[in-house]
Amino acid sequence: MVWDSIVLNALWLTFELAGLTTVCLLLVATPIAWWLSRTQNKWRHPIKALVTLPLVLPPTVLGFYLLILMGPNGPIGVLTQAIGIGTLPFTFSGLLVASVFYSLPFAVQPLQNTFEAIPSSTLESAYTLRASPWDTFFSVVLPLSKQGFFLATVLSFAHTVGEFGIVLMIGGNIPGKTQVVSTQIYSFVESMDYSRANALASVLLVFSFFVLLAMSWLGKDNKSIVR
Amino acid sequence: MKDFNLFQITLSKGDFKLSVEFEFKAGECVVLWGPSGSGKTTLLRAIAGLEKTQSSYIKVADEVWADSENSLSLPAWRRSLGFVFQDANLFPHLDVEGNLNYSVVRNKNILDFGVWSRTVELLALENLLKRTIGQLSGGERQRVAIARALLTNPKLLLLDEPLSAIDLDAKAEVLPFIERLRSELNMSMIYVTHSKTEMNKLANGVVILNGGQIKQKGPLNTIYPVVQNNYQEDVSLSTYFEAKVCQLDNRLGLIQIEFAGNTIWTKAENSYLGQLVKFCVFAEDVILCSGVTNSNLAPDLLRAKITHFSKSSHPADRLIELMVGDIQFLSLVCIKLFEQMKITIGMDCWIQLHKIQKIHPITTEQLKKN
Repeated sequence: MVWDSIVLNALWLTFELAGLTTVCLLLVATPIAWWLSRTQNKWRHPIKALVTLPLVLPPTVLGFYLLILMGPNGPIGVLTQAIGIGTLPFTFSGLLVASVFYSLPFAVQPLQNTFEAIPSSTLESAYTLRASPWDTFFSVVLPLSKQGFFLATVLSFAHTVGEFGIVLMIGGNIPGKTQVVSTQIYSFVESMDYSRANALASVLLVFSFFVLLAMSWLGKDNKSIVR
Repeated sequence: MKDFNLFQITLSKGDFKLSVEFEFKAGECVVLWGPSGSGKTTLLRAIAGLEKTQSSYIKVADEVWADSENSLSLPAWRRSLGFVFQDANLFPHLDVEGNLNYSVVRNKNILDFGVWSRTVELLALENLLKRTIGQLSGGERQRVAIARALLTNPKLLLLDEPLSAIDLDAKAEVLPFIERLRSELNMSMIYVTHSKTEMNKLANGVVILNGGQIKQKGPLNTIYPVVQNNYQEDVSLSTYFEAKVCQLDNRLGLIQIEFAGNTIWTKAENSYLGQLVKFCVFAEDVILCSGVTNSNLAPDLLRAKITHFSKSSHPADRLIELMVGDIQFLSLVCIKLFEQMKITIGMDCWIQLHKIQKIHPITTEQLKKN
């Protein structure tokens, strides 16, 4: 039996993780991207570099430091223990935190690009029509940034589905808890279970292809929109 | 002092320093006039709360918007103003009606019943309401922007060169609307421009800015002659003239027009023989031709007599007034050519009109409707 509970569990866990990561990312990345797109603050360059780091770092490096930080003696670990939720490594929540860090640039970049495309004069005209900055953000910025949000969602989701190194570092490979598709495939291959490895691998292959296809279609639509 | 608007503002932006103080009666229109870089737009933005000031006191009718001594400075969205930008700045994700409603829903409690329809009618937008922003011409966009600003029910309407980004035809289309709004709404207005025509048509009072300082201020009838004699408006310096269509070339879309005893060919559609058409030509499109003799006379050259010349706002230019028959033209000439031709008053010369623009009749039917 190829499609047994181990395989389905891994699939479910993967999409659950990717979904939750995407939601968290949009909440975290939107203010960061907005700040980066508008500020003249001298700290914007270091912050931008910091946010982009996960793009170039091997996941093991990021995973290693997160493991230290969230471990029993790390500052985050001490904090999470103090509020009574124990330490995060090797739990689903820990995996979620790590995924958010890991995919941060994939959400911030498209959002920042779409925000930067909105001229400040458009915002100023909203202010002169009695819209407060919050009101302006929801009534002008969000509708004008639909494409950017769509792109950020798709990229964050797909990138989280595709992560491996950081999942292994932070999540371990605990079946039903932190074992996602990518690590499960690795285990199947190690135990020479090629048919089940193939089942999962083919799902990811097809999924990734359609994600890229959808983005390409969206890109085409992008150009046809007259501003 | 309830019916006075008072503005005291100092600010600095890099090397630029602005320090002004002026006041005017509520319901009047003040034109801020001055060369580019004189601080007109910055001042207007500071009044709107879009620019940081060092110190400011701003009172509009009975409301104090800023009083730096009492550390008061309302943010832009709390000042009851309307702002019309150079570019209309309409929201591209909303249609015309959506853009107008953006103001309405945020100012519901202060809008009278009927203001909407009156505003839409005032700016003749009835037929545009369902259009997207992309389907509007430059002039239409600016009319929507004005209506959108009016629908905030402002105590002060700020207009930042609302006609400068649109072409000549659209200017002729929009200006009457602004004139009308000034005469009918009785609203305090500050209008930034470097066009003398707009100043003359709209201003009660004029404030002349230069280098961030007020050079002169006063009512239009005392300031306008000063402006007329001492300041040149570079880009919008132009001559209007009327000409008769005397020949048509429908194949090429050309018409031959006759004025002051001269004929020239120009592009213009929808004209008929014998029609009187109004044209406009910018000073920089009136080309002075040197070295023309009767033997190399090109068509479309006009014989002109130089009647006056003066410095222009750019040190490398001279502004020349010349007469073609009984029509006066202005020409902006580079000082090198000016010196080479040894230009003197009374001298005869040849000019060529590089580009002339047909002016469509100004009054639209919509305007006539009332």
